[in-house]
Amino acid sequence: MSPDPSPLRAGRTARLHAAMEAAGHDALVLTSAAAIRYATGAVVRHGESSLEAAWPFASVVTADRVHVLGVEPEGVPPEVEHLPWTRHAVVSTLAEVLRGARTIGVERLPTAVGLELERAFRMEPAEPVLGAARAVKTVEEIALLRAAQRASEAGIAEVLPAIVPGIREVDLGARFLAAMARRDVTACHVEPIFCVLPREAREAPWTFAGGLPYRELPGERVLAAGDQVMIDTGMLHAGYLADFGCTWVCGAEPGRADRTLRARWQAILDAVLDACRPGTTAADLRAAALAANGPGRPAPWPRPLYLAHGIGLGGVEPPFVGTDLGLAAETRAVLVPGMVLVIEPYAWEEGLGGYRAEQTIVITDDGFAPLSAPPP
Amino acid sequence: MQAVMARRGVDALLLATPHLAAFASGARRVQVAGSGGGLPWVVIVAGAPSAVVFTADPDGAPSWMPRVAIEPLLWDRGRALRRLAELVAPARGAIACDTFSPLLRDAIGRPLIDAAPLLAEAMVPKTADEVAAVKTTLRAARTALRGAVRAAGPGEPVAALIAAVAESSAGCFPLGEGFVWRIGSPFVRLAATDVLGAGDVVALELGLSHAAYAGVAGDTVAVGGGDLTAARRAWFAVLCAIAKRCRRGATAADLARAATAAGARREGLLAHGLGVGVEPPFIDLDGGDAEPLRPGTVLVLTPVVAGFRATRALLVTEGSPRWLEGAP
Repeated sequence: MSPDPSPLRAGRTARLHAAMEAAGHDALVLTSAAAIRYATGAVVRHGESSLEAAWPFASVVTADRVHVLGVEPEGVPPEVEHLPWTRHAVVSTLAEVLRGARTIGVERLPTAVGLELERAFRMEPAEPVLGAARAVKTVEEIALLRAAQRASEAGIAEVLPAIVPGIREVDLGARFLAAMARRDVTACHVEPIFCVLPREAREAPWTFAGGLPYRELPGERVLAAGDQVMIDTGMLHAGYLADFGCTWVCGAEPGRADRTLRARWQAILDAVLDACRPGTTAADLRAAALAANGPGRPAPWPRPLYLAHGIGLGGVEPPFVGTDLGLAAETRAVLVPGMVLVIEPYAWEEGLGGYRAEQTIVITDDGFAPLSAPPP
Repeated sequence: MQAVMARRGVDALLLATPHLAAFASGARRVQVAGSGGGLPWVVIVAGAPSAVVFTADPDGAPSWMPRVAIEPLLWDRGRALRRLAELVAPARGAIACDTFSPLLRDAIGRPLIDAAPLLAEAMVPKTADEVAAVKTTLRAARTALRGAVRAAGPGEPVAALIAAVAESSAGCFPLGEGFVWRIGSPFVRLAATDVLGAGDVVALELGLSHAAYAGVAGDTVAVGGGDLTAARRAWFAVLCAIAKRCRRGATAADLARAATAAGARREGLLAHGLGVGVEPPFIDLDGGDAEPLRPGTVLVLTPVVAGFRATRALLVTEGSPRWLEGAP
């Protein structure tokens, strides 16, 4: 478990310091694995929320020093000072490292720690600073995102032949994780989703008002021939997310309904891609999707998810397109070179069913470049 | 949750951490590792018939939850905070939360208290259904571990062991990547690309979550064959010495003393709780700061003796502890 290489670290640190200065933060206290890795290059123990609570970690970034707490030493770069996270002493350790700072940006903290620190520091949310730094990827980051995507595509190609009548949704998730491990990708960030999409609204009675019938919680459902299996996976490769999504017909060639839906999905995607260039906004992407979808149809993405989102280290990140953030916020979200977007429309129609797939792109100086292959 | 809130005078509870929010609400969401929780997505108000959940997966809400209590996840943090403030506005007593954020503090506009002690109290004793759920996942973890042991041959990369775990644990979400340590002094954690050699002695541990409850399994293997009988026997003696002390009122120091006297080595944790995830108490050879043991606590004993590490879970009862699984 070695820390991130030096050029990758240097590029990210420069962006973060610029964002801190712009926000007037003397220091950042970071507690998410992704933010710590971005800020320090240190690799923390990967795991779900109870593991994070059991073995907590943090980093403190000031203008001239970087510390991590609770990170295994073999995962920490040489220029970063590492300290233990000691349950009793963590507040005093943090206060010591933060000495001299007045305004600090913080991510989520255990409540007891936050309440103590609040007495000594002016605390503001760190998310805007992190968002500003992370929105634009360096060349090294884009290379890692591309590699992550390729590994996931290869893993999925290995699983597709197993999508046959009689197999359970959860068995496909297990096969995918095994296929990824064989490619040395072992950090499962998002539960692998292999879900049969509803063909009719009555099959998804829980759907939120105004949303398209949809499901994404895999279960023990046994697949039947012709089922539309929606796939969505999220693996971390060197900390960077590969968000792979497509829809596959179980045990059969796609039928007429499947081809109709896929064509509609492609038309929406093409319209959105047409708008992907520096200077356009998230609102433009939303408008392009709605126009291509045609009048009188609900927005072509699941509620309360999105038409598109950013990715980088860890999970989904701004800019978001199609959420409750709304038009005003989307109009302020301007695309610039180096932003990486996952575009994932959902075409659904009563009786025909659904098709959802994802296309990852990076915004370039004159448009965009794909980071993912077209869906299989 | 409601009983403990009433006892502690807490009128509203805001939960962001996925496993704690799932425990308190019964709602299931797509699992995401490394999302320790930003803004709360579960709100419990004293006396309310149901928790309120914010989710992208409304089909994951329990069937008994009223539909009005299931709200779409909000990406606009301002709107989300206003809605949270609205939900806890009727509270007259304390408002507790599991995660501190300056945004939440400002939005609620009243002092917030730490929910951790309340949650710790509510999560023990485990009900019979919970113990059964933990046993199911312990069994799944042990099956997956056997898959990894079979895969641990000379020349195999650690990734092959992790692949074997995935193949034999369908329907479970990995708590983490799984650990493989080369036994030594200290243990050295191996990367996915490290290759096992004949004669290596490695300790494996993995964790899984199934139907919201967690299981872990650990054992030590000699790659390419080799006799670990003596080391396993020594480990078993330490295990039993600790287990004898696992009774109501025992402190972390009691367990640590028993382990040291029996020959346990300082290497990571000696024991930890288990339930909806890896839970307190966390006990090491220094004794730690854990509260005295309460009946109904599920404890995973993870002692290390020279050259051997394994895990075995038990339930603390009023009398002798009850093993929840056989010896590995």
